[in-house]
Amino acid sequence: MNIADVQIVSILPQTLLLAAALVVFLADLVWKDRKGIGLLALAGVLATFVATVVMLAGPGVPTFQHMAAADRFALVISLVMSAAAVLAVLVSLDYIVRVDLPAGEYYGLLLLAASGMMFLGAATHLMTLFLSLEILSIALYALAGIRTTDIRAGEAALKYFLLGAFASAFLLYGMALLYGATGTTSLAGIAAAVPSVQTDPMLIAGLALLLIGFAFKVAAVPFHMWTPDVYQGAPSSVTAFMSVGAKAAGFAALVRVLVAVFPTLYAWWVWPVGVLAVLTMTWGNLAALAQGNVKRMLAYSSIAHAGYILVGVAAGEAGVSGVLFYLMAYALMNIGAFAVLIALERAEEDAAGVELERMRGLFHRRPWLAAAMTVFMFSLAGMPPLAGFFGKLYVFSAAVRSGLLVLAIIGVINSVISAYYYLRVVARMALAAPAEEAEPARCPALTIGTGIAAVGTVLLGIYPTWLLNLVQGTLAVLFGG
Amino acid sequence: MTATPLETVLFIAFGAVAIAGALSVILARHAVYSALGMLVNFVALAAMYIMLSAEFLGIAQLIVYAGAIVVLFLFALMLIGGRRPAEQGRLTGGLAAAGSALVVVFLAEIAYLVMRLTGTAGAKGTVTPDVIAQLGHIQLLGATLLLEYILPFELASVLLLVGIVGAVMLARARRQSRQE
Amino acid sequence: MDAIRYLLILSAVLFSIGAAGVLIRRNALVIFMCIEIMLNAVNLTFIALSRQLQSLDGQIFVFMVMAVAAAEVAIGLGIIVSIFRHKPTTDVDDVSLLKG
Repeated sequence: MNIADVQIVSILPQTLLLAAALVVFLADLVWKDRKGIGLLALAGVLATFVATVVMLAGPGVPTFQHMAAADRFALVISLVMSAAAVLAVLVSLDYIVRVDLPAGEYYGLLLLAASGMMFLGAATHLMTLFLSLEILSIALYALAGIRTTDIRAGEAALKYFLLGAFASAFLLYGMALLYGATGTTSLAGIAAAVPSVQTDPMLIAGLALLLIGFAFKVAAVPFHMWTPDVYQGAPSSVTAFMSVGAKAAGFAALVRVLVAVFPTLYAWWVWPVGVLAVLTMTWGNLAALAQGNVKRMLAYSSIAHAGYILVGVAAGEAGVSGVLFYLMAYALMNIGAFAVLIALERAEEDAAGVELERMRGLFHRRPWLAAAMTVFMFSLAGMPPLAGFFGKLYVFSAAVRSGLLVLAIIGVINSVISAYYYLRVVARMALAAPAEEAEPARCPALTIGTGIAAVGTVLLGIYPTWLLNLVQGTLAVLFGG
Repeated sequence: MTATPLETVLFIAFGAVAIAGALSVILARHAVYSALGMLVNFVALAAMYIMLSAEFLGIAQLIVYAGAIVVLFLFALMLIGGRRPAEQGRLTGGLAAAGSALVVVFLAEIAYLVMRLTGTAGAKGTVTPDVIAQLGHIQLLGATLLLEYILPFELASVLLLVGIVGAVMLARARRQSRQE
Repeated sequence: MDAIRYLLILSAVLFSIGAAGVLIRRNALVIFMCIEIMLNAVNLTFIALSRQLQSLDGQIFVFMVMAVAAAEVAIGLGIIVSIFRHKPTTDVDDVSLLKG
C-alpha cells in the first residue's frame, strides 16, 4: 500500500463540497449578505452535481487506496446527495433570512454534512465508514440545534445527539468485533475472510451490533424514537435535507456492508432486516394517520419510507437497484413536500410546523403551489405514474424475486393505508379558503426548487428507464481495484 | 497472548479500578462525582493501553480523555450549576428494570461469545510487541497513519472542523439573537 | 483464562455498565458521560485485539475514535449549554427524551 494507489479523482465530488464549505466559512467573515453566501453554496453544490454526472459518464473505477472507491454505486449516491443538496440550498435561500439563522454556519455545515454523506456512500473501509458517518451526524446535530432561540429546536438537537451517539457506540463495538473476527478493517478484506470464518460467534455478534447501529441512523422501528421530535423541532429546511440525506447515506452504507461483504451470510441477516422492515412500515404509517401537524406527519411518513427501503435491502443483491431508485425518488418528492411547507410557514406561529388546517384552500390561493404539493403527496403515496410508484414497484418486485412475497404484500397493504393521510392533505387544499389567511411566501429560489422537485418527480415517473439503467448492476465492482 | 504473573496482577488491578470508575459514573448521586469516576476509568484504561504496547495511545488517552474531555465536562457542570443536586430521581422502577435486564442479557451474550472464542480468530499480522519495541511505537503508528490511513486521517480533520464550527455556533447564539 | 479473553470480557462489562447508565440515568450530562464510557470500552477492545492480531489497524481506529469523541464532546456540551440558557435543567425528562 503506497501513495501511488491514490487516485484523487475518486473523491472529487466530496472534495469540491469541502472546498465550497471552506469558501463559505471564509466569505461569511467579511460578507454579511446571507443570500450571497447562499448563492456561493449553491455554486458549490451545482459544481459537485456536474462533477458527479461527468464521473458517471467516465470509464473505470478510481479508488483511494482501499479506503474509498468511486464505483457506480457511490456515484449514484453522490448524485442523490448533490441533487438533495441543490434542492435544500434552493429552499433555504429565503427561509434562513426569514427565520434568522446564521448563514455561514448553516450553509457550511450543510455542505460538510453532504460531503460526509458522499464519503459514506463511497467508503470501502470500516474506518472511512465510521468517520464519514460521524461527520454527517455531528454536522446534523449542530444543524438541528441551529435555531438557538427556540428551546424546542434545542431539545430536538439534544435528543438526536444523545441517541445518535449511543447508536454510534453500538456501531463501533460491532466494527471492533468484526475486526477481531477477521483481522482486518477493510471491507474487501472482511469479505474475503467471511467464507473461512462463516458463523464465528464474534462475526455474527459484530454484524448484529452493526445492524442495530445502522437501524438507529436510518430511523427504523424500534430504534426510531428520536425521529418525530427531531424532524419536527429542527428548522424545516434542515429537516428536508436530513430526512433525505442521512437516510440515503445510511442505507448506502448498510447495503454495501450487508450485500457486498456478507452475501454468504444472507440467511442470517435477511430475517432481522425483514422484521425491521415490517415494524418500520407499519408503525410509521399507523402513527402518521393520527397526526394533525403536516411536518410531524411527514416525519412519521419518512419512517414508513425507511421501511419500504428496508424491504429492498432484505431482497439482497436483487434489491440494490430498487433501493437506489427509491432513494432518488424519495429525495425529490420529500424535499419538494417540505419546500411547500416552507412556503406556507410563518416564522412566529409555525415554529413547530404547519398544521393541517393551514393547508385549507391552497388550491384557490396558490394553484401552482397546491398542484406541486398534490404531485408530491401522490408520489409519496405511490400512485402511478409518479416517481414514488416506480420506487415501490422496484423494491417490492425485487422482494418477490428473492422469495420474500410476504414482505411485498405487507408493503403494498401499507401503501394503501398511507394513501389516506397523504390524500387528506390534498383534500384539505381543495376546500374553500378561509378569508383572513396570510399569503404564502413568494421567493424565486423557493419556486425554482419546488418546480425542479415536481418536474423531477413527474419525469422520473414517466421515464424511469434512464435512472434504472444507471442503477442496474452497480454492485458488479464493489471494492474498486 | 500470554501474560507474566506480574502483568496478570496488574491487568486485574487496573480492570477492577476501571470497573469501579465506570460504576461510580452511573451510581453517583451528584454529576461531579460521576465526572470524577469517569476520570478514574480513563486513567485505568490508559495504564492498560501502555501495558498492551500501545504507548502512544496510552499517553493520548491521558491528554485527550483524562485531560481535555473530563475538564470540558467539569466546565459544563460548573457553568450550568454544579452545586445543586443534578437530578430529582431515577427512572421509574419498571423502565430501569427492563433496561438493566436488556443490558444483562447483552453482557451474558458477549461473555458467552468470548468464552467460545477459538483463540485464533482472524489472520495474524506482523506487528508483534518485539517489532514495536524495536522500531518504536510512534514511528510505526505515524508511518501507518500517514501512508496507509491518510484518507481517514484527513476525514478526522474535517470532523474536528465540524466540531469547532458547530460548538462556536451553538455557544455564541445569545449574542446573535440579541442583535434584533 | 488467557489475557485476550479477560480483556474482551472486561471491555464488554465496561460497555454494558455504560449502556445501563444511558438507560437508567436522566441527567443529560451523565448520560453523555456513560456514552463516553461505552466508547472507551470499545477502544479497549480495539487495542486488545490489535495486540492479539499483531496489526496496527485497531490502534489507528482508537486514534480516530479519540478525534470523534473530542468533536462529539464539543457539540454535545454546546447543545446542553444552549438549552440550559432557556431552561435551567439538564434532566432529560424535561426535554421528553422518551416520548416517541
